[in-house]
Amino acid sequence: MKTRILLAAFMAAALALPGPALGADQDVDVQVLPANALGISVQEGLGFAIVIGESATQSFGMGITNTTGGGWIVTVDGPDLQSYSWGQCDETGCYDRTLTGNTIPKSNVVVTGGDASWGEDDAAADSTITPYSVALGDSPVTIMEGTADAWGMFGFGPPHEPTVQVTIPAGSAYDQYYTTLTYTIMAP
Amino acid sequence: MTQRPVGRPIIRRSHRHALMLAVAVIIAAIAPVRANDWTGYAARPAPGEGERDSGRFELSVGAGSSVSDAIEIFNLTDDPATFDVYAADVVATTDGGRAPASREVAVSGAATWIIVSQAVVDLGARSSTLVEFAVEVPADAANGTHTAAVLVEPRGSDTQSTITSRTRVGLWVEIEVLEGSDAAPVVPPGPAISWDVPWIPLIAVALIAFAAVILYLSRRRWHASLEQWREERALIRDFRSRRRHQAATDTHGRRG
Repeated sequence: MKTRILLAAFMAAALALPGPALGADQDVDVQVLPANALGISVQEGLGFAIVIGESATQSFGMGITNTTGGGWIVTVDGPDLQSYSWGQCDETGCYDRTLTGNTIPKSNVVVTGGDASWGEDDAAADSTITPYSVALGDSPVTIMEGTADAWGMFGFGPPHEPTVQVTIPAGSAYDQYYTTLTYTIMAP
Repeated sequence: MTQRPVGRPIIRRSHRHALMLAVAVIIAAIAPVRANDWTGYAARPAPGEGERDSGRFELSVGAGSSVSDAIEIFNLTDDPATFDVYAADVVATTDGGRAPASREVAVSGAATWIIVSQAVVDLGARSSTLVEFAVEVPADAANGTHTAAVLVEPRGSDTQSTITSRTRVGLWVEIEVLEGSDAAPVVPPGPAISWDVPWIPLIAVALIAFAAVILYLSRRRWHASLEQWREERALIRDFRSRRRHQAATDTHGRRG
């Protein structure tokens, strides 16, 4: 008898608790952030398949955390695209990238910053994000500048999302190429 | 009333399963929803004196002296993460601004003055740590402001994509080199105790010596007490023996 009462009590408690899938429920998701801090996240990998002489563009997700009292800038830097082949592949993936000697200058990689947070209507009134569309050069390039209140997630739909455009110049070897871009956030 | 057979569980198996299911439902319902990882990590100047809210360190130090500070790194994800911490010089961006040099560029300017205490930092889920660094200014450094950056770079997994992306947070380190006597003492905000300092072993030795003395004294006292107790016991035994002897003598005397 006691067991049944116990079971009934558990079931009643389970039913009384709000289920996350019910339409009337509202999830409140809060990320607690440290004060006076900077952070950045970028989608780690972008794959391209491009015909020689043509360009392709891909958007990517970017997140900015800025809880400092000032603004921020994001710069991008990276080496030339280099051709490679895989030394070892199995069912889990490929390993041991071996460079094969061909390069495509990094000036053929153009990075564009995002320019809005979540939605323009939701952005803080005095937040300003200035995106730049810049080809990689010998020095780091600035792709975004933001004021103190301008931060959040980017890349949830055009025309506000950050993009990478890669052009394969005429005369390039038929090969597979890769490069690593480093995005740095800091105070201006 | 029927007797429960010996060895049969009080709660039947089906009931136990139902109980476990109910508990699981309750736990699932009350478990917090996985929070948005946002940027996954963040970094800031460690809380301390002076301006700490602008993503930079402003340090004053005399030529030939050094100053310490610390950077605080946050892992905001539900998974452990590894970070590289290093210094870099400042380079000009293509638009005339400034940025930390890429990691592959050898340091040659003010970044050579920066010594990071921990180049690789492993952080558990939802945790943070302080990483101290020292700025050791050479004696022949020119007066004025020299700038470098301390960078925090999470180790990512290698992708197989055309474009692999890495991120890093840069905190400017603006070092104002003063005339030796003008340099203001700066209190590092990091942990107050360093295990490198020589007085820690001294304290340990002193504690051990103190404990040894206490032990020696207490043993001596114990021995003394034991001797005294033995003497008292002997006296009592002697006294009782004499009294018994006296009583026997008296009894014998009265009969006689």
